Amino acid sequence: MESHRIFRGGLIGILVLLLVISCKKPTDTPSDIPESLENGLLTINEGLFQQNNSTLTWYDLYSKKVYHNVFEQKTGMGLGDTGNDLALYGNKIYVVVNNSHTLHVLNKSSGELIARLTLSNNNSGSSPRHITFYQDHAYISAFDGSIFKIDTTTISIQQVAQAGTNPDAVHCSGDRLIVANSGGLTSTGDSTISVFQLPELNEVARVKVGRNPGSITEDHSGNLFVMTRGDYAMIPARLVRLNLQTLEVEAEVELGTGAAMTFAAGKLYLAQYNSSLGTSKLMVIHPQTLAVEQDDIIENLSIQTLYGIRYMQIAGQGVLVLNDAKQYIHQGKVVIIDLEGNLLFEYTSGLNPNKTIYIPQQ
Amino acid sequence: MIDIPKVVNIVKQMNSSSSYLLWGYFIFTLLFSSESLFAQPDTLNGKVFHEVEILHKDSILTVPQLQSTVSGALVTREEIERKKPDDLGEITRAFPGVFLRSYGGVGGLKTMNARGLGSQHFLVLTNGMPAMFHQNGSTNLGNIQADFIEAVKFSMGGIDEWGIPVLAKTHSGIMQVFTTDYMFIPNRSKVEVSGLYGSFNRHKWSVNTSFSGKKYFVSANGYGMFVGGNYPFSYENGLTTIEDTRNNNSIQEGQIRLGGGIAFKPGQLLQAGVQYYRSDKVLPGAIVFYQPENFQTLLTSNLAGNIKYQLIRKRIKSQNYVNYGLQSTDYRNPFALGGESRERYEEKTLDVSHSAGLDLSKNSSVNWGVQYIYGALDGNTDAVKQPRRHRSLISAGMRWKPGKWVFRVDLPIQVLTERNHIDSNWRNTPVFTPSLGVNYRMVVKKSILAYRLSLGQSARVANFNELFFGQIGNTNLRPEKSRMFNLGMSWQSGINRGFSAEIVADGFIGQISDKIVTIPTQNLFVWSVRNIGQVISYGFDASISVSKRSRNDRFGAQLIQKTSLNVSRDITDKNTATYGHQIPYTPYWNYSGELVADWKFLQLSYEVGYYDFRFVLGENIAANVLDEYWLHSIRLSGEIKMKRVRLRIYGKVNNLFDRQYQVMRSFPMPGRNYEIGLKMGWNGKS
Repeated sequence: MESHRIFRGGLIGILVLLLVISCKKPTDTPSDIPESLENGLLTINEGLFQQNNSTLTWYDLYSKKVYHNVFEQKTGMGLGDTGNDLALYGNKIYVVVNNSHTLHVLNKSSGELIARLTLSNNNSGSSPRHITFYQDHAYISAFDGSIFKIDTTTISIQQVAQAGTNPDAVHCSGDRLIVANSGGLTSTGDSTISVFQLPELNEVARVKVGRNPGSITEDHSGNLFVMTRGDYAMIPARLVRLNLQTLEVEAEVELGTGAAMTFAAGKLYLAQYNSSLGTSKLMVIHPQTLAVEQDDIIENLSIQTLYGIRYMQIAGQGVLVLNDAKQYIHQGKVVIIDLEGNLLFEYTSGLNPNKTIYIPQQ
Repeated sequence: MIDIPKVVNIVKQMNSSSSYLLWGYFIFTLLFSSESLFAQPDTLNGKVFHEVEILHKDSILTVPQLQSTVSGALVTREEIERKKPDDLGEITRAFPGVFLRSYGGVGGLKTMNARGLGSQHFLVLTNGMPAMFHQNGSTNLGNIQADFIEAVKFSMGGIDEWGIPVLAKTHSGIMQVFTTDYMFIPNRSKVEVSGLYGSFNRHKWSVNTSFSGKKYFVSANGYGMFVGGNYPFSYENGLTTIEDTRNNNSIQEGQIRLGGGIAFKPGQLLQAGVQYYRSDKVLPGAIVFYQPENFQTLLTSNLAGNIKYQLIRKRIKSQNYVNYGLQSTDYRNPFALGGESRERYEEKTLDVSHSAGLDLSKNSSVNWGVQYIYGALDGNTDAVKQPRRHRSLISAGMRWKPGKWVFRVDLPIQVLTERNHIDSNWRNTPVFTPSLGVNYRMVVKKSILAYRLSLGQSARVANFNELFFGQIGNTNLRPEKSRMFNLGMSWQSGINRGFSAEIVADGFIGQISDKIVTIPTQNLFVWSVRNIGQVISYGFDASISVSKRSRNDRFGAQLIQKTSLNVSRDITDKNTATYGHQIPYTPYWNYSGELVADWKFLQLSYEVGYYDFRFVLGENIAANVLDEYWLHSIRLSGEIKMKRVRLRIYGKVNNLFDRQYQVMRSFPMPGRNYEIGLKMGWNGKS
């Protein structure tokens, strides 16, 4: 009888203890919806593949308030799967969502949905990656090799051209469209950039630059810069400088790893991520000599995975906007620094932020 | 006593936020019923304990639950007949604490996890021989149909049986599956034919035959299944509910198994079996917002054969087998970027095992085992790299049973030797996974009460994809290790005026280190595999079962309730946002309750299951929550026996209230669905 009492008492004790440690389900706290998307920073968060968790984060520069998931709040629907690019052009915001094969077009002021366009070939999704603009058209690269020409007034596909393997970054330089053929989804890769004449969208040149070309930018001296990312193993990343007129490679330098870059105030700012150490740094490189002027201007900041970098003018001040994806599985953050690497402010974003744009006051 | 209408009423009223109510009810039931059970009068006419024992007569050497040093549970043929699960994955739902990961239900991948441990910590043993898949390390439980399963025994944290291969002793959880075609009951023969038709144009037929004489048996069985798929579902896209149909999930599947054996001397049995399985599935993939539907196909074929020799003498007993398996998979994606892609893989396994036990005295025995496994993978892509693995295992153990006590020690060690065709250096990995267990049982007022304790280490080794595949593979991976401490009890009443009861409860605490995770490293398109995770896990599993039969045995009722709590926290790095958070796809609470009533030849059962919310990623925020859900199902069956012929007809409705839910994010499950079936069997003496 005694053992029964002990047994029952112990059982009750354990059950009560377990009740106490019951775990509560986190719920979304209802948040305000920004009335307009003006005077603030809009960030696209990639989310993770097949999770349908791409989002847009809005940061109001006046109130300093962060609004998460504004696309869903404004449109009533999710952004989709693996959002890759975001751009402001005219009075519209363009959102490219890779694995949903979709282009969303939003009203710049209200943030409301104007149009949604599926990007596909032969009933198969094209996996769009990046967007750029020239005159009245948007140009979108897609992993299936397509370059889509979209009318920015009617939001309709006007033309589809073919670039190399798995086109990635796109860059407009005058009336030419430069496309980085990454080959990133193949085992053999690609090593070229395609040059298209606009607005006809005719490929006029294909130039070999190095394995897995990614980020593209240019300076004000007629130089084009391409970052080739190698194979993440034996072939290292390189920074390649080409003459914009002749399209000849004039100089290149080995980087080890490379993630993204931007041109600002006469310098190249280049983001590097070391996957072995789980650390990032931001190098400053002289565009003519390709010499490293500063090895890391963010060493005092706690940035883990530098996933995106853009230079922009906010209220007359030139700043660098950095996107930290942390460990790719946590909410990231957006960090705003000056050109010397001093922290101005930062805020939490969604999962895997990869690009931030500034939307000025109307 | 338990108020059954009240139970049903409470369960019906439960909503998504009622886990506390559920738990409160469970405690109430447990205490209330135990009060009445402990208060049984001492007037039993006979001491009849219904210890759970597997019915096999030949090679299955199981330890009764009340003498077990490890936690576990058993599903018998009776329960399988009652619930009519589709496959082994559905059967695992019966085990408290096991969470079935189902990627879409119809034709989708099904794996299991428990106590914070992923699917590769669990080994499926079919008739004592392991099912191994070197490429991804997991067994798709959806590929093992339930038709010919006689019983399934699940053990966690070690294993008591001596006659199993050493490999089982290196795993955290073991699922022992016993099939009818490996049974040897002298002078018995049977022929069973069954068919079913269900929702989503699902139809299936099966034949199961066996003939045995005094010293031999032969068996043959097979099935064919066709599923049209195309089930309706709804999902939330942001704030909008989308109604859709899940297309492209048709299945054509079939299997043939042949077996036989000779008992050529007393205590010696030589058995052989061969099986061929083939399935052709269309894979719809994940639901992706705004994306046109996927259409990919997967063709799988599996050919396996084995020879097994069993010896049982007065003091010594041994089990030995040779098992060969050849699995081919052909994955085709006609709409892949850059044109149609086709990936073909071929995996070969040779497994040779010897295990034996020797009784030193009436109460003590030693056991040992030796096993060698060869694994090879080839494919039509360079990324495969043609890996080869030699796995050598050896184990020694001891059982000591003084009086009411049982002590168990097992000391298995294995060495893995691996390489691929690019790197000619062999990679050697030794792994030691000791475990020990204690059981103490006593008779208290004609009921049996048993306590058990186990402590063990187990390891799941990296699979070929994790080690070698393309750029993601990492040859520096160490095995993922788990240490688990378990303390449990079982209580079984005697049968008193047709009333009986059973309570089983286990608490556990464990730690997983060197967790193998695949993470993006260079960017979201470049992933690699690392040993970076560390998890602490604790909780409990519990079940309570009460049954009552009328004096004339015409009416019977049974109430079974199971629940579990699993807290598995990430403790990898204090500086990360996920430190102290529940790991992905690990629900805190699971609950299932079943009420079974039978009258004459009819049987009715109503089952309800609760699956708690879980996180799809490591960060425990609202954006990563996948909602909890309740599922209800009802089954009615009737069985008519005419001499040696048995006819059974059943019908069931799954997901009675048409709950739209997802077990894994982006993989919606079927709503309400139906099934009717018929089985006719003949049993006779040969």
